[in-house]
Amino acid sequence: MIFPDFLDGPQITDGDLVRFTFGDADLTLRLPVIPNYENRRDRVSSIKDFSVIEFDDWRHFGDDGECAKKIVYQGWIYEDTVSHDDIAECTLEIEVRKYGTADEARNFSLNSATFRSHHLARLTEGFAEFPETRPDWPSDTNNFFAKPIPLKWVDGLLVQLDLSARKYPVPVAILPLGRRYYLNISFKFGSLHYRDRKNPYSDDLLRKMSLDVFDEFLSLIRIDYSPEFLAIIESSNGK
Amino acid sequence: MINHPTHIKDVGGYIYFSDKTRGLSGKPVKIHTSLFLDFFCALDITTQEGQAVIRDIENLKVNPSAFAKSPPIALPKPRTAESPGHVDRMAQVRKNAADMSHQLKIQKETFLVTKNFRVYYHIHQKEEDSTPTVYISELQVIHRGQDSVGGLYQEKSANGDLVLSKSAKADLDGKTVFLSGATSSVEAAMEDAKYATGNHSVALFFCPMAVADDLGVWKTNRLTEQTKNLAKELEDTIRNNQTKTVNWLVEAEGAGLLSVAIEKISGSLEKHSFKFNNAKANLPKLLGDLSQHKAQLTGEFIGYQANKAALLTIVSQKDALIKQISSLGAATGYNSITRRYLTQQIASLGGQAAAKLAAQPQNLRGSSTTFLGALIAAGAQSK
Repeated sequence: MIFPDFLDGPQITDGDLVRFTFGDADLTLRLPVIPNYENRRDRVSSIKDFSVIEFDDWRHFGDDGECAKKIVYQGWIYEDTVSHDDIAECTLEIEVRKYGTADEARNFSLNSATFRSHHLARLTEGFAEFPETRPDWPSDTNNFFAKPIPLKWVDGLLVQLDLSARKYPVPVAILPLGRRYYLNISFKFGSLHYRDRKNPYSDDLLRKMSLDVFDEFLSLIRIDYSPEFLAIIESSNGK
Repeated sequence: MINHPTHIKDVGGYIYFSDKTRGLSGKPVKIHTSLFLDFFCALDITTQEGQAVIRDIENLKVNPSAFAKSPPIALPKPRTAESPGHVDRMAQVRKNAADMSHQLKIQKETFLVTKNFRVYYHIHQKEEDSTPTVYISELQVIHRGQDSVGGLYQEKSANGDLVLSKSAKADLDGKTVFLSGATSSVEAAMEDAKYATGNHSVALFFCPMAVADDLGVWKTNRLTEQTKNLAKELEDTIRNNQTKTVNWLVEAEGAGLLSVAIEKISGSLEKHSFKFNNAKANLPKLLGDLSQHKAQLTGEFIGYQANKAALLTIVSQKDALIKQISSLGAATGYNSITRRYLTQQIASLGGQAAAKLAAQPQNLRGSSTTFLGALIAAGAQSK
């Protein structure tokens, strides 16, 4: 990643490796080491094995047993190395989501094309309630600017979503984790302002930097499928 | 002749900032003990931000800009034909002019900006100083945040994706509303709301960081238009839901905003319940106002969780707070037991350590302890 001169903050490449198990897949993330900030936001789920688990305390949505659990919530700051001013703040949120009973039986995650089409259809349906009026913003007409995230067996999906009326849409990565679960990663980024002075870095520059940081984070994700699930992928002609 | 900035009345009470600023290398840096509580509340010296601020203040000892000379006053050049006496007198005039220029410089207070601190200082050499010394006499905290707009927010699910949007006239019947403390972004405040309430569908009334600058407990600034408008929005939100059942969880600076808003509301709030966590406001007055509106203050409605500024706020108002709680309407059933526990908890909060802390600005005067040493000791005591 090309880091702007005079900006300093946690580096993804120096992060800790954290591993989660989801039955069909093992997930390895490299999470940045968060310094001891005053309002430190660094919560990583103590539950690492989701192969057998109760869903009572998960966030439930839909009417077919769909639910979600936040496994990572981290926030960090980039500061100017000369003035020590805080320049930008970012938040990484990772949720594991369980498919509804019917969707689980349909096995969308066996194939990059079906995974993509299912999740784009899900987004189209979900965001129909929030019609986007701004031109050039993500919507169902431009497929939420969807791009594939190349993975070894089944590709993930990178979309842009309007989640909180920010100046820029929020990049969200959707990654397959086998038949039962998928991963939802959002990366929110905002410039910081003191009341008495301006932020010397332009919003566009910080936006580019944020997308670079997120790309770097995604490039270090590793998903290892179980031999059983790999056999199912291969028998269905996989990728 | 006065040789310190004229607005500084208390010229005593300065102690060395840290062991590194005793003047063994670079200029000595001293700080007024009256700034102790401001520093203690606004800065955690164990954090990254705290360390950066301390290093920057220590670096004032070598900060060349602080010692830059003012431009000299222009004087006519001596003519070669002048008598030796005239040349001597002109040399004296130049020396006096240079001294006056230096005098103007040291009377001028300047400031260092680091992180969210603005540290005001001047250079001065008092009788007991062997060299010109940096005197820190004032401190201003300027919070920073993203451009999030304050107000009422709610989340809606778009097939699982949560869309956060500002709602103008929301029906809050049966809802829990989290009135946030000063937070840098609305998303972070919403996460705090869910974490504090354990409720995924909590509504949020968001206070941006700028509100903290206006609604401090120790130093109160004149309210800006932004804070006035936000208080008005809170007032309208309460008024629009006055007859509905609403549970409020009020955090930190949110209590200050509620104090401003509640003053303009008339009529009963008997269906509204309030709980406070780490409140930073004049809590006895706020509780009095709420009780006049018949708001529900039941159970352990005042909470405190390891927040230094909130602890000092409660300790400084302890007697008034206990008096106010005892004057609330008679508690019934189990509430009378929790009311008793709450009063005992507040009475014992802080104890001697907090009282010692509050007396530090006076106790530190003339002390050989450094300011940083006192902050470290106070931090260890308050844990």
